[in-house]
Order: sequence, then structure tokens, then C-alpha cells
Amino acid sequence: MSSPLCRLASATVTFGAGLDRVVAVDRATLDIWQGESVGIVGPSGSGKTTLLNLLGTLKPPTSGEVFFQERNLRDVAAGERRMLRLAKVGFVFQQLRLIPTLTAVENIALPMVLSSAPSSLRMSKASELVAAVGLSGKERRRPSQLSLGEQQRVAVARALVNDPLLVLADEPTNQLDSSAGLQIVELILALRGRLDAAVVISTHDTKVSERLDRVYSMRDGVLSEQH
Amino acid sequence: MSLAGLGFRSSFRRPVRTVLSVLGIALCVMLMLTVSGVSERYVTLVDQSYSIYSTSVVVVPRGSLLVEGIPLGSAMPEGTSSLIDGVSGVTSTTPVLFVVDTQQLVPRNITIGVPIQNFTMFGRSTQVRLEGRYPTSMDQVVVGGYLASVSNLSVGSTMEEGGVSLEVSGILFTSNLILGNAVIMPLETAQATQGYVGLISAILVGSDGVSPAALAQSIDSKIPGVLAINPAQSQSFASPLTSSVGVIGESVEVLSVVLAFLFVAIISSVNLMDQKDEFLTIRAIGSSSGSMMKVALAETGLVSLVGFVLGLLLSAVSTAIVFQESAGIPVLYSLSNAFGVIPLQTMVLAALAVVGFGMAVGAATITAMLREMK
Repeated sequence: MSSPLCRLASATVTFGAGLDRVVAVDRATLDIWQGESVGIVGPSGSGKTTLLNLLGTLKPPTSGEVFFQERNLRDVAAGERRMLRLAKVGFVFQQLRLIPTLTAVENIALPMVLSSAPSSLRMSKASELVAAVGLSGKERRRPSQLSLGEQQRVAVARALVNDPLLVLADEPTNQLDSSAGLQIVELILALRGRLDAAVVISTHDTKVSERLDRVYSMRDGVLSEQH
Repeated sequence: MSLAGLGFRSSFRRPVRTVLSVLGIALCVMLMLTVSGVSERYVTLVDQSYSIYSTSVVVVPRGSLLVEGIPLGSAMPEGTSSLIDGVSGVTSTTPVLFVVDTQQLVPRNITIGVPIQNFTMFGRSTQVRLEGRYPTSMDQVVVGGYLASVSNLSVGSTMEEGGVSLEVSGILFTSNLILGNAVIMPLETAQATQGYVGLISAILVGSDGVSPAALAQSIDSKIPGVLAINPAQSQSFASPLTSSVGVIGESVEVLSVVLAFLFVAIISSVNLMDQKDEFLTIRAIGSSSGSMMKVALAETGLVSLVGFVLGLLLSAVSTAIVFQESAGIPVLYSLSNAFGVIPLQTMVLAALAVVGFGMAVGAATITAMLREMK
């Protein structure tokens, strides 16, 4: 492939103004290629989440450019950005953000409901992912009836249900012990392999970053490549 | 699971709060519809009471207290009819005796005595259906449909009145509450059984070639001790009562509508704001504004609709209880026609106010949330 799936070109995000101005991402330049896995490592508050939000079209840059499949997102209308996000980006949020009133399988199928996929298709796809993340037999349970690790698996499955090109996982191991965290990362990598999707994982766990193709570090909003 | 299904599920996220919300809305709806139903029913009853007079002028003893179209508190000699017959323009006179049980706010068990040959006048004055026939002898009576049903009377039954055994020759089914509560018997029988021998309470006067107002004036001036009322006057007797009942009813209705609006607005917005995280999530995943709106409208619509339906049912019961307490009409009888009591227009307005407003508040809350998410 001759062009990256996603590209940040000197993208900067600031919050506040004057003395309260905070630079969350400072002139970040980054190419994400299809099928690769990229780690963003850094302490809490370093700007990792904001960077992922930039890549996922959730947050526009204050300055600089963000490209997705060679299209400058500045030229893409808000509605189309939303459609792009729904169809081509999968999120594993830091706080999981599962819908408490829905069952595991319904949470997984939610992005397909939002994209108006036929009911039969979304149920078969969601059921397939339930099995793939090892939750067979627990698909009718609500998030409160699942362990944290199981909830994390539901969140991973939800991120993959629409067959995205880019999967963004924000600290997916944060609330898990080391071994469970690694299992989740292995799961993400295995499942995205089937789609040939790119994966960007933010983490502060070096054991996680060792499993990824490329790793960037982030400190005070500044992004730099490690290996 | 659909988007609407997601909204419905959210309603049960906090079951206690949802139940309290539904009950709050139901109570407001109940208050709104009960007040409306009772005042509407009472105004209808008063209006109907005047419609039993099919003639142009009614003559009552001067000093009578007119309650719901029925003269109370005094009587006049039956011979007064002959005097009125002599007034120019009078074509017919029908002496009538009313004997009313005034223990209740709305009279019931009314005895009406009319000359046996004049019974058909009831068929002319209101929408009625007679089962059986009008009396052909002095020991026969016609009973109003409501009274017959609560007293288990049917055509051919016998009843005792003033120590005299009387046969029910007909049942008069009518929407007129006065006639529905009445025992109508030949005048002489009514006078004998009720202790009013030789006395009557009103004379219905038919006329030809003279206006009711002029005839009433003429009777007033020529016959001492009587008051002749024309239809316009009878309306004026009723209007202060009906209008004051109407004004009180409308005021309480407005208050309850405002309360219902406040309840619905607070409940809808608080419930949705409480789910801000979930809305943020589905927005982040890629939900459109329309999809989020669907979820919100399904949730607020469901809570408001369930509250409205519950309020409707409660209002039927509470209206029936009010009628039982004020008019002695048994609850089960009122409930058999409960939704005839509450005007359809009021029900539709209440539904629009509660469900429509609830959904509008839901839409406004989501719109504000979307603006904040930009």
C-alpha cells in the first residue's frame, strides 16, 4: 500500500486559553498503516487519550492536519465524519462505557444497530464475536453481572463488530491484572488479524508495548518514536 | 434490540425512580381529568334538568327555590291550572308534582306526578327509550333506567310507595340524570302516596301565537302567587351555577396541567441527563442525532404514556367515587360508563399535554446534550 490508513501531520490540540491553556498534543506527526499495531506509551495525563481521539475523528485538531485514507478531515463534514467513525473505526474506551441496561450480546451489536444493519446479521455477527472473546453462555448477562475482565472482552468485541479498518484501544489493560491485561491485548491482536485492521493501543505497561509492531512514547503532549 | 428498545430499557434502569415518575404523572393526570369530569358532569346535569320541560313556559309557586330546574319548598293548588287555562294565548296546561329527596347534593329518588294522559311528554323532551309502556291505570308507574338498575326493578315488578303497591309498567332509559333517577306516576297517585293531595309544584304551559316572554309576563300579572318562567329565564337560573362550577373546574384543571407539565419536564430531563455517559458513548461510536433522538423519545414517551394511561384509569375510579359521595351513584354504575363522564376532548388534550410535552422535553434535552458534545 502506498499511503497510510491514517496520518497526523503536525497536529496540535490545546484546551483552554491564556494562562489556562494546556497543550494536550503538541505537533504530533504519525502514520498508521493498515494491518500494523502501534503502541502509545506514556504516563497518565501525557495526552494519549487526546491523540487517540484525534485518530478516531472524535476531536478535531486545533492546528495541523488529520488524514484518514488520504482525505483531510478538515474537508469532511461532521455527518460524514460520524459515518466514517461508525463504519471504519472501533473504540475500546478507557472506562469501557458499556450500556448497563443491555446484555453482553446487545452491547456488542450496538454499533450495528446504529448503522442500521439487519437484525439477523447483527445477531449472528455479535454471537460469533461472543464466542471469539470467550463469553459463550454469558451473552445474556448484563455488564453488572460480568467480571471486569469479561466486560473488557465485551468492549473489545463491540469495537470489532462493524469490521473496522482502525481499532483504537485506550488503556485496555488499565483495570486488569498483568496476566488478564496481556490476554486482552492478545485477543485484540488476534481478532484484528482476521480483519487486517490497524490497531493503536495506549498503555503504560511495557509488557503490552513489547507485543506491538511500533511503539511511540508520549510525554507532555510530545510524541516520539521508540522502536 | 432496536433504538426504541434501547430507550425502553433505559426506563427501567432505575425502577424505583421510574415507578415514582409514572405515579407522579398519573396523579397529575388523575387530578386534571377528575376535576374536568366532575365539573362537566355537574354542568351537564344542571343543563339537562331544564330540558325536561318541553313547553315554552313553566309556572311555579312564587317563592319556590329552584334547584336544578325543580321547584322545591312550596306548592300550589291544583286548581291554578284552570286559572292559567283562561289566559289569552295558552293552549294547554299540564300540572306536575315533584317530590325530591334532598338529602343528597344531587337529587335522587325523585317522584314525578303527571296526568296519566300526559306521560308521552317525556318522550318529546329528551332522548329516551321506553321499555314496556306508559301507565294505563292509577297503580302503574314508570321508573328511570338508573333507579331501576340499582333497585333491581323491571317491567312487571311491583314496588311499594306510601303504603300503596304499584306495578312498574315501563322503564325509561335516558341520558337525563333527573329522569333516570325518577319514579314517574299518575298525578293523583303521586299526590296520594306522597301526601300532597290537591297540590302541585309546577304547571307546564303550552302556547300559540304569543312569545314565551310575553306569555310569562301575562301570567305573572294575571295570576297571583305564581312565577312564570320562560326558557330564557330558566337558562339564567342555571347559568350562575354552571358558570361558577365551570370556572372552579377550569382553574383547578389549569393548575393540574401546569403541575403535570412541571412533573413531566423535570422527570424527562433528569432521567435523560442521568444517562449522559451512555449518550456520549453511542455518540462516540458514531450515532446520528436522529438515532439519539429516537432513544430519548422512546424513553420519555413510554414513561409519559404509561403515566397517562394509569392516570386515566385512576381518574375513572376517582370520578366515580366523587359521584358516589356527592350524588349517591354507586361506583360500579359510574365505572360502567366511566369514559363517558370524562369528555373525549379533555382526554385528548391531557394525552397531548403529558405525552407530547414529555417527548418535547426529551427532544430539547437531547438537542442541548448534542450541542454540548460538539
